[in-house]
Amino acid sequence: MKIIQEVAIELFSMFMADARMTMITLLLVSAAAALLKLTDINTIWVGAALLIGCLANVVAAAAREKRVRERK
Amino acid sequence: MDFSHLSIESSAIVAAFLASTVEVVEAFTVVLAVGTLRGWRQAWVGTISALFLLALAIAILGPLLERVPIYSLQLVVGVMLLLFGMGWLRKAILRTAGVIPLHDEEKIFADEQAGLIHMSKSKRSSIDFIAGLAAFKAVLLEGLEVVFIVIAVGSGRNMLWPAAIGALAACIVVLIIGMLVHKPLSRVPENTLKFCVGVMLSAFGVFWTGEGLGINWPGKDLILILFAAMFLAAAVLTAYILRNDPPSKAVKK
Repeated sequence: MKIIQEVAIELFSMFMADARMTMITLLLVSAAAALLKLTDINTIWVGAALLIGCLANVVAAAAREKRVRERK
Repeated sequence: MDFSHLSIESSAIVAAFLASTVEVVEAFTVVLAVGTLRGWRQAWVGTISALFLLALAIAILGPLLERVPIYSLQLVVGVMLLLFGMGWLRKAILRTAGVIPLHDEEKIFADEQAGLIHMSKSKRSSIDFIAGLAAFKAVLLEGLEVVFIVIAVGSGRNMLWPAAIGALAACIVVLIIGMLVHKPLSRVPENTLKFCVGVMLSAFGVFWTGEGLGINWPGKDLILILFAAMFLAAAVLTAYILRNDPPSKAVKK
């Protein structure tokens, strides 16, 4: 039973390395989906926004982690 | 010759190979700790049991994947790749910047052996059973990540076989080197591999999430190279800045 629990935790942690980064990524994808569904915007602009959002997200997550560790 | 298809296929093989190398090295360290502490029977029983369970999972999940519509599959796999790849990239940046320590296979090997001895004393269980269980857990947990990576990079474009070949090649290479040197593979540049894999999986993630959402990427598959270059540049620059950034004033006090 403990092994199943550990496997579940491992699977969960694979995608939740940083909770805030995960939430922002999901929000970015949701926003991109909404933009494509609700507007006539060129899909390339949405793709560019998704890419830039993900780049900014990973950079911000690393910088945030450094600040958190410095405070400890 | 379709170069764009060739580029995505070779990217899938390389990504699966590099990512699997990292995971197999980690599992190998634990199996080696078990094997050298309690003999190879326990290590093999644990390893083969875990591989059997993984093969069963693939046999069940594989046919199910074929029933999922390609756009839905690309979207789900793309988002999972983004979360997984960016997680690896974030960790690799922090390690390169010296914020968190590098992965040390020698230390993990020693800790694993000490842990096995401690557990057998405190739980009064058979150390052989605990050793076999440790090998089983390590191979199962790291193997799950390998399975996910193969499915994730392979399923978006019907490239499960190239990705699986990449992962299998990594297993064979690590096992051969491991059997030859017979000690933890501490010289494997784990963080550099993690850095490369994080970049590639994040690039695949953006690409397939976009395709799943219906975005028409200019240049088709070749745009993956641009995505990877942008993630690499951002990650290298961030690691450099964080490494050379002095601690904040609050910390200095």
